[in-house]
Amino acid sequence: MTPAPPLSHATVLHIRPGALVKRIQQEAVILVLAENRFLAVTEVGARTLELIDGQTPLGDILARLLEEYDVSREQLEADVYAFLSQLIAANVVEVERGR
Amino acid sequence: MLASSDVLLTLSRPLAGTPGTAALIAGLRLRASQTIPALPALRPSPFAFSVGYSSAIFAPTDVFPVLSLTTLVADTPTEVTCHVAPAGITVHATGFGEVFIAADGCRLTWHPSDDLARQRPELILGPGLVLALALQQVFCLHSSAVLGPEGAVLFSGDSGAGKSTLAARLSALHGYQRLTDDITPFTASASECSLLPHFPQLKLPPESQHPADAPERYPIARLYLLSESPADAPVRDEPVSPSVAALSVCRHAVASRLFPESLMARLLHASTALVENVEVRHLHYPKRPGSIADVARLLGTP
Repeated sequence: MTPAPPLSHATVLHIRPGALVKRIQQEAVILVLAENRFLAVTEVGARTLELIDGQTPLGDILARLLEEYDVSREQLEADVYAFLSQLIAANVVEVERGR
Repeated sequence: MLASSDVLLTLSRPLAGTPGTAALIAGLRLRASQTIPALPALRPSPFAFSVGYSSAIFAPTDVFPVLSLTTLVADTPTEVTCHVAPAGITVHATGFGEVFIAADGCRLTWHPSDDLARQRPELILGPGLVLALALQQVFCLHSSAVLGPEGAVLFSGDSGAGKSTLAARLSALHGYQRLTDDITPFTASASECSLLPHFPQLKLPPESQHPADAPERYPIARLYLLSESPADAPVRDEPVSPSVAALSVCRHAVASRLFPESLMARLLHASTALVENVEVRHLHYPKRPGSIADVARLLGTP
């Protein structure tokens, strides 16, 4: 796995074509096709993935998640950045533009 | 992979031009290049035809590898290569032979390479059967299953987790009908989740296979994911989050390492459909005398 690039509010991400995200109830399972690898994602992660569309800056995604979940901005940012860094390293998402 | 087992399938000698045969496996029609001898779970198909033995599978330009790995086959480190092409999938195990599965999953050609492969055809034929079913939207789960009051109850887990023992003892001691021992074919969609019991259970003797005249399918009522538990802990079950349950089904799918991307995607859809429509729970099952009775109580009266 390659080190994940730094993320910022300006970062725009997209889900890689080789990653298949399947929602299951409020959660999701990801299949990384090239590696035949599955990942389980809990509710907030699944919602975050749903908001990644290749156009919306990460700052807007964080704002949307803040509206939907009862969590502090600091906690949410730390969790989402860590989650996305893992997904970048796992070849699930990649940076479209902005860092 | 279908690993070491008693010899249950014995092949006629693979001769060029030998007529093929047809079988029903997990309720699906499968044409084979060589005679698959009668097994209770492999019944003759009502559809008569013949298929010639062929060594020319497809043009090399159509082929690209899905994987190449070294794994244990019959306790022997073996190079296994899987190729996919528009015509179908080929699995080659060095020293054991090759099996080709047509893209529609309805036709199978295999070439055992030596005496061992002929004596133990399941080593190369087994993955072929699993791939053939998968291409027809039926996946195989590493699990055992019994028939409970509301339908099939599956016990899935890693090797040694106790799934075969559970099914065997629930059957012998508590009156449950064993449906599968180690490999459970299933189909899952929003409208139906069924177990298809007519599949060779390679670790069971012929007399313990599912009866040929038994139903083609059973509704799946529940899936238990077996978890290790200390010997002095009580038997208990608990809910599983849907993503973890789906992940477990995907990970315990038989021979999925051989699946091309299209089949992996179908497996993901089938696994999520199964989890969305069937109750899935963790079963903490300590291996000690008496725990089977506790599991039977959890399941209710057969």
